Amino acid sequence: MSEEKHEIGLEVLGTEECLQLLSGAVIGRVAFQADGVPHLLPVNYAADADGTVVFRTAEHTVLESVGGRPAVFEADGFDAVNHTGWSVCVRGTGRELTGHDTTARRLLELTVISWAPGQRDRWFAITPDEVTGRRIPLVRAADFGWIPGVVS
Amino acid sequence: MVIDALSTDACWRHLAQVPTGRLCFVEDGEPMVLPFNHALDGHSIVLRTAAGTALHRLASGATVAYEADATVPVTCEGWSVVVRGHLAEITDDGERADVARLGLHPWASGRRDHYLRLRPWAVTGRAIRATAVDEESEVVR
Repeated sequence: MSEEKHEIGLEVLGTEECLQLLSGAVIGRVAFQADGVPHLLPVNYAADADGTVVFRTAEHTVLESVGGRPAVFEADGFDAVNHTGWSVCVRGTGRELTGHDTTARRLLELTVISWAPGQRDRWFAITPDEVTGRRIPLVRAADFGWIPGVVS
Repeated sequence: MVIDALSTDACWRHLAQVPTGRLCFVEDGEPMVLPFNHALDGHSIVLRTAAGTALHRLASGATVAYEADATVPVTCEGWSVVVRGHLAEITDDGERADVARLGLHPWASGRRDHYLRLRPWAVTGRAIRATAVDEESEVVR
């Protein structure tokens, strides 16, 4: 993917910066394929120090299909005024947290505040095989050799 | 807090309010997510990409999902709309000229001169809003 042309004009973010951005947002989206259809669902989440993301859902939701499937978690932030923004993706496999191992028990301690009403007792995590991020660099008018208010 | 399903019309009105969203597609069995800025053309979504991207390769009818949302963190309110459909490159000259007038300019630098159209077969949306005080008291009673 690194040579893909959709990367043109984008700054590649280091892992540390990706993790920092992940820890600062509260909404992200979970992407996976189920029944031959791609799904992309917004969730409230918490991020662990290594980039593992944890989110909750209710019984009998589409989101519970993420268990055992290749999944991507995406969080981003955009600035519509300056036409800049960032996006971070955590790529891994979805799994349900049931508290049967120490990692799951630790992740279940994370605070995930769900904005949506109702019981959300099913906990899922995506543990990263890969964390990647991109940013659209801020292009200032001065970079074009033009400064507002200065007529040349 | 209550959660409301949005009507199709409301979904399009919400989509028109934001310039960005994320496209989810599947390549070699792996889900991919890429952010985009978009334009609406009637009840379809127009995106731009460069030649040779994964997306360009898939732009011959692949099934994709496009999500856009807006949130108000202070009140924990927000909405999200997901459009599912087929992605196809716009190759007809007349149609290209039409979408060029939508004023869709990629935020990132670099040539992205291929227009893609997402023709939806399902549009769904949800909004989470804080319950008004009087509604809460109704519940209490």
